[in-house]
Amino acid sequence: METSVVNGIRDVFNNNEANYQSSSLAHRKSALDFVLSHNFPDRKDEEYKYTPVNQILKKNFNFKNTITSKTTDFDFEDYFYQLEGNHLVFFNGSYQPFQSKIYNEICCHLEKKSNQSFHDIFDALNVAFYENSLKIEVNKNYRSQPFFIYYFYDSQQGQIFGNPNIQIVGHPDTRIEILENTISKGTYPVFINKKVSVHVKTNAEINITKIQNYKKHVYQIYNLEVNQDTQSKFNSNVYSFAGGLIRNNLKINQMGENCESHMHGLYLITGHTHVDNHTAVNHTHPHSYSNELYKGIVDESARAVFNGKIFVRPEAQKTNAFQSNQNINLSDEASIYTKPQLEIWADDVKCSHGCTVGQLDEEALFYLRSRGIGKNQAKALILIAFSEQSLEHIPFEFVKKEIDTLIRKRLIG
Amino acid sequence: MSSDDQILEEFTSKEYEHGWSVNFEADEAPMGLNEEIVRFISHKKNEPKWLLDWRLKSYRHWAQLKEPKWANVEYPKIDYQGIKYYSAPKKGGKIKSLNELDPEMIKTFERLGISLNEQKRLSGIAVDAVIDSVSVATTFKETLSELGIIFCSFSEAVHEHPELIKKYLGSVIPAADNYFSALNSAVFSDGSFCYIPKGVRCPMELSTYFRINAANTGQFERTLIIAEDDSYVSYLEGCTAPMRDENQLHAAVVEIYAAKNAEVKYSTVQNWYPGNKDGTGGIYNFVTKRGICAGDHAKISWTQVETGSAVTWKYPSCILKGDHSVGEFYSVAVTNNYQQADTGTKMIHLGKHTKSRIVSKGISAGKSQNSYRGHVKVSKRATHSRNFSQCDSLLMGNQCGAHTFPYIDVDNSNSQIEHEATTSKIGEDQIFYCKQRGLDEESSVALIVNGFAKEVMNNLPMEFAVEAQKLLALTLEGSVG
Repeated sequence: METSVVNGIRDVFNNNEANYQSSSLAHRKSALDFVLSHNFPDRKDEEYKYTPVNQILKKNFNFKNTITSKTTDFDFEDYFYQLEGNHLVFFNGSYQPFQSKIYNEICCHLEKKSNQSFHDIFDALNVAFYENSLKIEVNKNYRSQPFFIYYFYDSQQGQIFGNPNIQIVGHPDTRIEILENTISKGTYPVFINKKVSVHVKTNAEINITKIQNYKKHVYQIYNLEVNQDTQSKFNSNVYSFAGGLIRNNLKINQMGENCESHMHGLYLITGHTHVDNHTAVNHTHPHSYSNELYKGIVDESARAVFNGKIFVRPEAQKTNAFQSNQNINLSDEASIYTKPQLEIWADDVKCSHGCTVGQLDEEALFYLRSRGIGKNQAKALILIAFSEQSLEHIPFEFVKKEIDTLIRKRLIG
Repeated sequence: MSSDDQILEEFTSKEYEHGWSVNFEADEAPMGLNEEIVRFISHKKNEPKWLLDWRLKSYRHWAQLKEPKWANVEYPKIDYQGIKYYSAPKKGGKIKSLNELDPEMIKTFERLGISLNEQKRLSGIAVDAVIDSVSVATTFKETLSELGIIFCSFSEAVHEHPELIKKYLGSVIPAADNYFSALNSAVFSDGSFCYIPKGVRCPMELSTYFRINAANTGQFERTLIIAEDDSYVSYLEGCTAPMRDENQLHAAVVEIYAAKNAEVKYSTVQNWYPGNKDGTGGIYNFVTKRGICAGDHAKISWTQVETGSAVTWKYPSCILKGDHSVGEFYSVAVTNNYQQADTGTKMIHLGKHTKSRIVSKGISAGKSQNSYRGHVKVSKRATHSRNFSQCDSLLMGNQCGAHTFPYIDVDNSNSQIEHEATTSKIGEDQIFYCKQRGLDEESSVALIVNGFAKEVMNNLPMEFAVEAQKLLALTLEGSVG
C-alpha cells in the first residue's frame, strides 16, 4: 500500500483510538496491520477485475481528509417508515441506540468489543475501525417486529469513512425481517465499508432487503456473510439505483441439510454508476436448494458487473441450484461484465445457470406501438415488466410500492 | 446398438492403445534450456538469422515470465531444465520419396492406423506426420501443389517460403502472448505449414499427426495455416504418446489466418497419454490456439474432442476482426481417473455483425476435474454482434468435478449474448430405458454419452467422427457402477 494511504489510515485510527475499548485494542491493531500489509484490490485481482477499488478510492477518496463529526442537522425520525417495528439508526457508520425507536428491546444489543474474524482487506478494515456493532438476536419462538435499519451519512463538513457492523442471529424457529436504507447529505465523498454477518439457525428464516440509492459521491463496499443451519431459509433482495461505486459481496454457507437460499437483485443504473454484485453459495450438505436471479438495466455510461458462484461439494447430493443474470444494455457507452460460475463436485444434482445481455425486444416494441402506444411509453412498459419480476419476493407491501415508484420514476422520468 | 457393443468389446481390458514406444535412433539436444539450446535448435534446422533472432527474443522474454497459476488445475512444478528440447528421429530429415523413409517409422505409423503410403490410400487425406516435433513425412504434396496449395513441414516452409513465414509467424499469437507461447516460440522444432491461395477450395482434408516418442522430451510444434480470400480448408490434428511414468510437456502453438470470405475448419482429436489409473505419468498439454478472421465474412471453426492428457490447458480462440465474420467452437472434453482439463475458448468480437457460437460438452468421471473457461468479449465497435454459448456438463460418480467459468464482457448496446449451462448426471430413468431394451449398463452409458456429445461430433469430419466415438467409449471404460 502506498505510504500516503498508509499514513492516512493510521491517522484515522489514532484519532479514533480513544473511543475503542482497551480490551479489544490488540485485535483491532492486528486487523489494522492486516490492512496495511495488503493493497486495495485492483485490476490484477481476479475478484476485483472489473471493479478496481484501489484506483477508484485513489481518485475519489482520501483517508487523510476524513472527519469524525458527531453533530448533524439530520432529523432522523423524519425518515422513519410509518410502520410498527424497530427503527434503528446508524450515523456515519456507528449505531445510535438513543436515536433509534426500538420495539423489541430484547432483540437489539450494542457491542463495543471487537473480536470478529476477518478474511480480506475490507473485512479487516471494518474490524479495525467499527465503533460499535449492532447485534440483532431473536430467541426461539419469539415473534419480533420487522427491523428497519437507516444509515445516515452527513458529509457537509468533510469526507466520511463509515464502518457499520451488524450481527444477526436467528435462533431456531424464528423469523426475522430486515430492511436497509441509506440517506445521505452533503457533497464530500463518503466511503462506506459495511460488514454484516448472519447466522440462520435450524428452522429459522431471515429476509434482508436492501435499497441502494446513493448520491454519486458515495462509494460502498458491502460484505454480507451468511451461515445457514439445517432447514433454514435465507432471502436476500437488493435494489441498486445510484451511487459512485456499489460493490456487494454476498457469501452464503449452507452448513446443514435442506437449506434454502434465495438471492434476488435488480440494478437500474445511469450516469457513471458502477454496480458490482458478487455472490457465492456454498452447498455442503444434501438436499439443499439455491435460487438466484439478478436483473439489470444499464444506461448512459454506467457499468454493471455480476459474478455468481455456486459450489456444490461432494457431500451435497440432491442439490438443486439455479442462477440467472439478465441484462438490458441501453447505451453504447455502458458496459456489462458478467460471469456466472459453477463449480460442482457432486453428481446427483441439478444445476443450471444462464445469462443474457441484450437490448429491447424490437418485436415487442413494434407490437405496442402498432397499438397506439408512444415510443417512450412502450419502452418504459417493457422495461418495467422486465424489472418487476424481481419485486415478487419482497416481504413488505410498502417497500414493493416504494421500489416500484423508483423504477417508474427512473424509466418514465 | 451392436456397434456400440462392438466398440466397448474392442476396448475392454485395454488401457491406452498407443502406449508403446519405438526405438528410433534419435538426434537429441542435451537436457535443459538456455540461449545455447535455442541456438543449437536453430542451427540444427539450418535456419536464417531472422528466425534465430526471433527465437532468442522469445526466449529472453520467456525467461522473465512466471508460469501462470490461474488455471483450475494442479500439478507438481515443472522442471524446465529437466526436459530435452529437441529430439529428432535420425533417419528422418529431408527425404524425396517415401521409399527413403525409415521402415521402422512407416511401421510406426501403420500401427497408429495412419498410412503414409499414398497409393494405398483411398480416402484421400494428405498427412503431415510429426514425431517428437519433427515432421517426417508429408503425403500428397504434388497433387496439392498443382492447385497452388502449400502443405509441408514448418522447417521446409522456412526455407522455401520465407516471405510467408516472415509475414504471418507470430501475427496471430505474438511470441510474448503468454508463458507457453513464448516457450514454444523459443524452442519449437517443427510443425506443419499450410497455405491456401486465393479462391482455392482444398479438395482433401489436410491432416497432421503428432507423436511423442523419446523419453524426457517435450514436444513443441507450431502450426500455421493461412487461408487467402475466398478459400476453404479443413484441417485435422491427431496425437498420441507412449506410456511413461514421468510427465511429459507438450506446448504447441497453432495460428490460423483467414482472409476475406475464407473458411478454415480445424478439428482435433486429442489423445495424448492420460496417465494410468492412479494418475502417474501422462502428458501436460499446454496449447495456445488462435485464429483471426482478418477479412470480412471469414469463418473459423474449431472442433475438438479432448480425451487424453493428464493436464490440459487449452483455449482455441477466434478474433473476429472482419465484419460479418463467424467464429465457432465445438468441444467435447472427457476426463477420467486423475485427469484435469481446463479448456474453453475466447471469442473476441471486433467487427460489425460478427457471430460466434460455443457448444461445450464436458464429461467427468473417476477422480477427474473438468473445467470450461470461456471469454466472450464484444467491443464497442462490434455492433449487432451475436453470441450463443452452451456449456453442459455430465458427472459420473461423486469424486469428480465440473466447473464453469464463463466471462462475458459487453461494451455496446445492440449485441445479443446468451449463455446457458447445465450440470447433471445420467438419469437412472435413461439407463433403465436402455437396459429394458436389452443393453447392458456400460453400453447404455456409451450410448447416452454419445448422444450427449452428438452436437459436437456432428461437426467432425467423417474419418474423425468414428475414431472420436470409439475414444469416448474407451475413456469412460469402467467408470460406471
